[in-house]
Amino acid sequence: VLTNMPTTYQDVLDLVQAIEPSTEAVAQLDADALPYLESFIAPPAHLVPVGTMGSLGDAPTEEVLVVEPFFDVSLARRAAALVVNIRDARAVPVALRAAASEYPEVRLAVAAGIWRLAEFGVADTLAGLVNDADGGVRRFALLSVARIAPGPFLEAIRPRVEEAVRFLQARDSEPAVRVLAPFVLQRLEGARLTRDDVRRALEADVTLDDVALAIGREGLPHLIELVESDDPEEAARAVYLADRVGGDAAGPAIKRAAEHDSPEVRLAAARAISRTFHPGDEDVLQRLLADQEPAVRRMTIASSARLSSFPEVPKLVETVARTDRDDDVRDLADELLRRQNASRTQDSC
Amino acid sequence: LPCYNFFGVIDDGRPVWTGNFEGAGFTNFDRSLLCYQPHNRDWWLGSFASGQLQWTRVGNTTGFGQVYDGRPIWTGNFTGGGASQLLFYHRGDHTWWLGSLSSSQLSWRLAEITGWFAQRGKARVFHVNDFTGAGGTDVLFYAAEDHTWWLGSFTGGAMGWSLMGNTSGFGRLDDGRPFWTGYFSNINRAEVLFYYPGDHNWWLGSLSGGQLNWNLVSNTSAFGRVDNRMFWIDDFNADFKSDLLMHDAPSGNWSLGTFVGGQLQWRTVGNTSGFGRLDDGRPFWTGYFRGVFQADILFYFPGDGNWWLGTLVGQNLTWSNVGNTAPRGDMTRFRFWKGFFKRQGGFDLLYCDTEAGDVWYLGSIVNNQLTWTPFGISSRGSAFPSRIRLHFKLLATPLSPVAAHFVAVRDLFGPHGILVEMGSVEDLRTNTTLDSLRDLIVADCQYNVWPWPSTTAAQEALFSRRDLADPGDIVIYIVRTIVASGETATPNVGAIGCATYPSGKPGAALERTAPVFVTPHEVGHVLGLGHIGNSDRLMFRNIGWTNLPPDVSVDEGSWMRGNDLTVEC
Repeated sequence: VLTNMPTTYQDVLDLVQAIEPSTEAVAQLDADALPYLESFIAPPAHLVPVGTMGSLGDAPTEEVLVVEPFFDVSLARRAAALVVNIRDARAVPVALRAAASEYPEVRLAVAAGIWRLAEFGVADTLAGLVNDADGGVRRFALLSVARIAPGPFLEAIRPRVEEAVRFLQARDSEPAVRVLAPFVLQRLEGARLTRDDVRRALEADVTLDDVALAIGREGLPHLIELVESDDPEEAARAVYLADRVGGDAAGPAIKRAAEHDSPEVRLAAARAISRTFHPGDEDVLQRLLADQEPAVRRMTIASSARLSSFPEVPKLVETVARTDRDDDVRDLADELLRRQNASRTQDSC
Repeated sequence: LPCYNFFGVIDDGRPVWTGNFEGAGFTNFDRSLLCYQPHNRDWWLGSFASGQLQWTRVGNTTGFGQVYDGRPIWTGNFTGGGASQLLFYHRGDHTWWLGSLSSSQLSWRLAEITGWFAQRGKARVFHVNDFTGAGGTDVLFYAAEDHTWWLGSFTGGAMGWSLMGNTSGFGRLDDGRPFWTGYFSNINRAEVLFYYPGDHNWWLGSLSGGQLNWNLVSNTSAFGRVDNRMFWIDDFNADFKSDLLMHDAPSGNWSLGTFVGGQLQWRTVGNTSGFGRLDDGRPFWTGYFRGVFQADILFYFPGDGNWWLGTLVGQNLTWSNVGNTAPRGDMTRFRFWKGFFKRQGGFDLLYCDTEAGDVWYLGSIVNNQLTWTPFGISSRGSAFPSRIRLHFKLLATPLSPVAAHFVAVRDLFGPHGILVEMGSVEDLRTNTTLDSLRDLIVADCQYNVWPWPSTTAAQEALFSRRDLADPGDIVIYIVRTIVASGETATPNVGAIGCATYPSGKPGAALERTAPVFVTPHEVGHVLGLGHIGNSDRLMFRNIGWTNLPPDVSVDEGSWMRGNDLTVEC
């Protein structure tokens, strides 16, 4: 099998070994990579591609040796994470092999990304991962369920998943899983999230990243309201969550947060606007750039660094660089403009 | 001064204590030195062996964080075993820690937790001596806010505190008035003595019947205010009790205060107006320099290089010139320590000539002459122009030992002038409150986004755990897995190592299975390095390095040294 591998082996190896893999490289991966990826997850016994640490040149043609079975849990985990990024039915059997790995790290990689393969019928596997022996695997499987519930992909096995999630809610050893389970269950049952549910999620003793995945975009309308909470901490958390679950639809939450009395909440808005900004949101950005708190203005400049493609933004920053009463804020705005100008000069060269 | 990876330079500002740390001979004779290197938390013992002073590394206290932060660290024979120990109080958690030398290692143990200290107000004054006369060193503290006195003593190795009295009648005693401790009125237990400039009264506090009793022992209104005069406490008249030697610089007068019949009596013992004013900053030492149980006073005058020894003979302090070191230049550029270092004859003075090969010189008075002899050489180790400090926090068991990760950084960055120091290793594997951070959700791991990269709430929560790390230290969090946040449908697979960190909390996360060179790779990112395409180099984008260990280029070394997190030595 290995001798017939296509010439993308080195590309796959590069990606499997990448320390911080780029989104673009992951996106380019297609089903042709699956045999290679599978070789990292469950290599054929006694067959090992030579030079797995990068010494291999192009495709392994002659360079196949019979040696001890090769397995590296780190590479296997990475390969499994890549497999579930390939939206192709052919990825499913490889993902299933990874889901059956004896290493929890490998199963966790599948659990975290298997929702991307939902349309190809992986519900059974996902249900199995929800019941996994490892708490981390259960946590990410639960979050994957949350991403696709209550859609059609889980419908056939919904009772089974519901039962598993109920069990986790009652007995799981992982506090995060116990906290998240009710929200996931609610989504599975198709019940509408209430404002109280979302408020409870904000107070939950788990990271907001987990909460964001558990409540999903359905929580956004409530979060937009909660941004106006009198409790600054709750409001700031709502801003963070709105940004995480809503992405560019979180604009109204950011707009309200920018007008909040608490600088903590306005700071959260300043931070989130780098992801939620749309043409037409200039007034919100302008408001934050003119905020009475220097920390908020500074954070807004930092966010503006990621909005240079919007033509109005540099103009607003320029005004700050000229007129702001705080040296630090002016310096930061100056630095941003200097960098953007340098980058433009480089582009034109 | 550069940073050194061994003993370094004694003049770098590190604290040095003298004591009888190995516990031999007279308990209160200082026979060795103990020093602490604040930058790497190493402790070194300097003691006489094979005819010279030898320095040995006796421990490291990275687990305490920085102890050289202004907190007092006392030496004394606290547990009464005969050897000097170190004792400090940590205000953060009200704990008392006792350090003892055993089998050439300085070992620390928690001596006491005194939460009630917090309730006694902030203003307190500590004194250390054998106030009970039981043989061990006690800690006596005065809480100014409620005027109470407390005694901390070790019994059976455990430290306990007792209320010793209340001096509300004196008003607040922490007004800058001078205090001394010593064996003033008896030779069995130490007492505490203070002078109040307001009425020139001298009060002696002695412990008896579990109470600190105060007696008025003198009034020196005839002298005028004396709190601006120079004082030395030692046994100048050879009666085994502590005397006060007082010098009035403007007049040149010397007076000796001794206790007779429970009263402090003063008499004039000489005048040195012929020397000019002695309060010009010249150094003085007192002790048994001549090898007899009578203390002398010794001073050095940088103006002419002369050393003068003052000895009480009959009623007079008699001065004799015991040497001249003018050819050595101004000796006040050196730090001096006094002790019974060569363990014979009298007390010695010790200094290290850091300008000429770190040679240690011992000055001893023999035949009424102070002679200086080379007493050993300390080795600095390799010099580095800059340094970083790494801490490791384990949320999962790393496949390679932490030491291997550390050594990988040290060995790759060292040749580029960056001394890599081990800060601490904290085991958080069983901390259940961190369960949801063990498989860490990260953002995009694009470390070089200006002005700061994006991080997740999970990264912020994890990187907030910086116990034992100073603000610029780099903390490596070893987690089980790093999971991409997946906040959008964009394909993403997390990272083996991720060097994005919340503003002001420099560090990186590492998967437990990461090869050791991922650690220097991530630290390289933290110090501003980007990826390159050459697989021989550390900053190659993946773990498929060729020619291990991977290389760090001269430019990369220079770039990292210029980073704000790299501390210039």
